[in-house]
Amino acid sequence: MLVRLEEIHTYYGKSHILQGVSLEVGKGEIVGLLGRNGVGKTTTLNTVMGWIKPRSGRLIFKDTDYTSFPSHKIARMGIGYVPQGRHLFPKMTVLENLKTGMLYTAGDDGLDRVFDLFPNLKERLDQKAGSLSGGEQQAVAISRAILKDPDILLLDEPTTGLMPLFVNSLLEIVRRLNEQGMTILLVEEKVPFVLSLSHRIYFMVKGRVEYECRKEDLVGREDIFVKYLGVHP
Amino acid sequence: MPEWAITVLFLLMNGLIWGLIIALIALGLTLIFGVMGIVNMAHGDLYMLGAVLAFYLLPVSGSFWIALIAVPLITAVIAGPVERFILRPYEGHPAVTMIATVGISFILQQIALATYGGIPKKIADPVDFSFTVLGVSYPGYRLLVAAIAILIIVGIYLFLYRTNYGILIRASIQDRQMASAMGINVSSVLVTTFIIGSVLAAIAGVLAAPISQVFYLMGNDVGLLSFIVVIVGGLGSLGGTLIAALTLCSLEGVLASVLSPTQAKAAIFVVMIFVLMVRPRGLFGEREG
Repeated sequence: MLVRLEEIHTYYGKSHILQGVSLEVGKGEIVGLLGRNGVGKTTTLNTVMGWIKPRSGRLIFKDTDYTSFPSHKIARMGIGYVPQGRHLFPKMTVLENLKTGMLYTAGDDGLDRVFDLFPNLKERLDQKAGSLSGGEQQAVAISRAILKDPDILLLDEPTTGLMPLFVNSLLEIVRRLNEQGMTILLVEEKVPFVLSLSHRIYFMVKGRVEYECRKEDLVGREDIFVKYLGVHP
Repeated sequence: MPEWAITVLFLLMNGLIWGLIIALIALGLTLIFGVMGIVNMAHGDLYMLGAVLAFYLLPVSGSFWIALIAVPLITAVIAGPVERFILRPYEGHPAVTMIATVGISFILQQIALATYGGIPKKIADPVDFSFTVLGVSYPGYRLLVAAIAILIIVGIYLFLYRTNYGILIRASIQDRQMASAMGINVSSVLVTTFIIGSVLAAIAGVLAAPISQVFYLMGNDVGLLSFIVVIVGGLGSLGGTLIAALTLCSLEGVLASVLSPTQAKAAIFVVMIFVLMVRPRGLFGEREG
């Protein structure tokens, strides 16, 4: 297993958000994390990234317990993050944003890989990241993360605010990244997007993982979506 | 050229040179605020520390220029632990860090009073050349100060905008959490920024020592003026800080020809109030969100 969460309990002040989350992501997998609003999906990713420290439980990456590591060390270990809202550095240019992904990796050849995935970025390099469209911002956020050449990429609501056309191309891009060997942990509200990409899916309810299955196991199981998400897929 | 025009010209020149010194201090102040969110009330005293250290180092080293290099190093050695052990424990509590810096200010002033004494002293001009413009002799050291200050300001700009470490600092200013997710050790960026900001103030102190009198309270007025400059320029805006420093100091210089020095200082406050009425975030400050 590449990443494993063991009985993670995370709090925001007195609010008990993650109430014993356990899940694992194997090398080369795309794992989807589904659940209604406010069940703790983003908190799970923030905990994996070290932005929030769990009060109890263990975070394991490649057999190393990294629960107490600061997030910059976690990032350098090989975990890339595209958070909800993208968190670009808005007053810096696109190129400077991309450079933040290249600070601790050798060489500039990663840029070619990024331009291969997002050719439009080549023309935007000198533009301030804050002035880009939603799709372009997402392209920069993903590019910046993959330039770090991480073992696993955490994607939080990547389709939010994107036009349908770009959602489809994003789907292809995520698939291509996975084919190139990138492991992905995906949090997304759009169920079809998750179903198209994921090999395995975890369903979260009120801060806990309540159900886990392979994508194939969900065929004809509308009841599961109704039970855990309150929606039809 | 009429005599009054020559007077105004030289006052303007003095104001601009003083503005460059203030810009060095204010750039440090705004950098520390931008990265760390700390309103450093001891910043003026770091300027005083630079001048006092230069006063002590001058007879030992025998050279003002050695002092100009040694003082920033000594300041860095002091500033690092101050950030790590006094300010860092209160990170995220702006009111507490502000009070802590008031405490640091008192400590620096009292150490200077206890060792250096309470009587203002002067450092001789390190260069004794002067030149004549419009029939008036002007000290060459002042122009040298302007040149050094400009070099440092350009250096800071290039450091922030043309180097990888500059990217680390600017990323940390804009989104500290995301910076850490990119592998940036924000903790070390905080120490480095505090050291850079403090060193800028101390260098300004060394440069100003031969121009103004070295005194344990010399940081008070300068600290206040730097705050005004940063507020007028727009908190966190480096370009705004530079423009505000040059404008306000030349204005104060010129006004001093028709008003008393105290009235000229008061006029600067009026300018600040006016700017804040028109642009509450300062000339180059940006809206939040």
